[in-house]
Amino acid sequence: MHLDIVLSHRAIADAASIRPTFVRNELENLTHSDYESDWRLEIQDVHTASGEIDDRQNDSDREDISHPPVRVRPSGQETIHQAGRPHGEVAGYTELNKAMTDDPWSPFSSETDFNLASWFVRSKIPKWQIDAYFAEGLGGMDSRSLPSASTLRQHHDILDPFREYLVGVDASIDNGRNATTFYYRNIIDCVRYLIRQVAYRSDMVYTPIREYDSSGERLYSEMHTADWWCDMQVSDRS
Amino acid sequence: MSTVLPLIGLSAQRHLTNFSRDKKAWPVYMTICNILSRTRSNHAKMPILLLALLPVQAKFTGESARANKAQRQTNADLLRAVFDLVLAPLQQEA
Repeated sequence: MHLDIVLSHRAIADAASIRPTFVRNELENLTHSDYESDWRLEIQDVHTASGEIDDRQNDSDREDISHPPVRVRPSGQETIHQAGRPHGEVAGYTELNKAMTDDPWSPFSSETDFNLASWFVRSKIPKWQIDAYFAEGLGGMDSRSLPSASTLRQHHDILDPFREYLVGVDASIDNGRNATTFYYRNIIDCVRYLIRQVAYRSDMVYTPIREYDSSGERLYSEMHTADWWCDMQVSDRS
Repeated sequence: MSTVLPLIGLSAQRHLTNFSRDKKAWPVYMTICNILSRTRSNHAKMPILLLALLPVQAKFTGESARANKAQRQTNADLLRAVFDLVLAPLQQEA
């Protein structure tokens, strides 16, 4: 178990009697965890033991709800001056957004085509069935951007604007006795791919913070609330 | 000015099939700590990327890898060489 996580768990167990807002907010996000060993589940145990089950009335369909960036609201929060402030626009970001708004259904020719393709993929229709669908003219006689399953696959590949980051290479290592091949990706490109995902935007952190509960006790939750991040990022290195 | 980007690496042996001898894959995955854990642990949001598929060294004839010191040494050297290659971009970037 990670050191930060151990610390945070202990801090919460100690503060269970005064019940800070911190615990309540964590509880609302319980359904996001798939792991039994998750430390948040242990918090739930602490919580139910003290007979307070009140925040979970509508927990059922929370999986797809987007949350604001900061879910933890401790009573005290200390940020570092000017840490994590943006430098400027990411190169090419405006162009990318413009291209998406100008032609939202690209590479498909229309919304209908996009929805059809989307349905094919979601329903896991096999390739030969998709080909049969078009061969039998079920899609109508008008010209479409989707004549076959192979073009569907091509369109599907084009949809991700950052796909070139994930192109891997086959490498071969020869130790004199025999050669073995393996596959790998550029790790820096993988990081770029993750950072550029708009879907994660509300859940990305670049700024270290220090959090405290109502009694002034330090709280540790995510990695950026610990000292290491702060020591690394806010240092003399320019 | 700099920003911290902590990386997490994950690996596990993956059993592929019992047919044609036991085939296994050794994938290595990665993700970054800048993504909050509620998203990072959400499989549906696909925050964990495949970084590499480790090579499975051809076995020496006869003994098992556990019994054969030379085999173990070869495997360790190979693994080291692969990770040197895969993680090399990080050193250039730092």
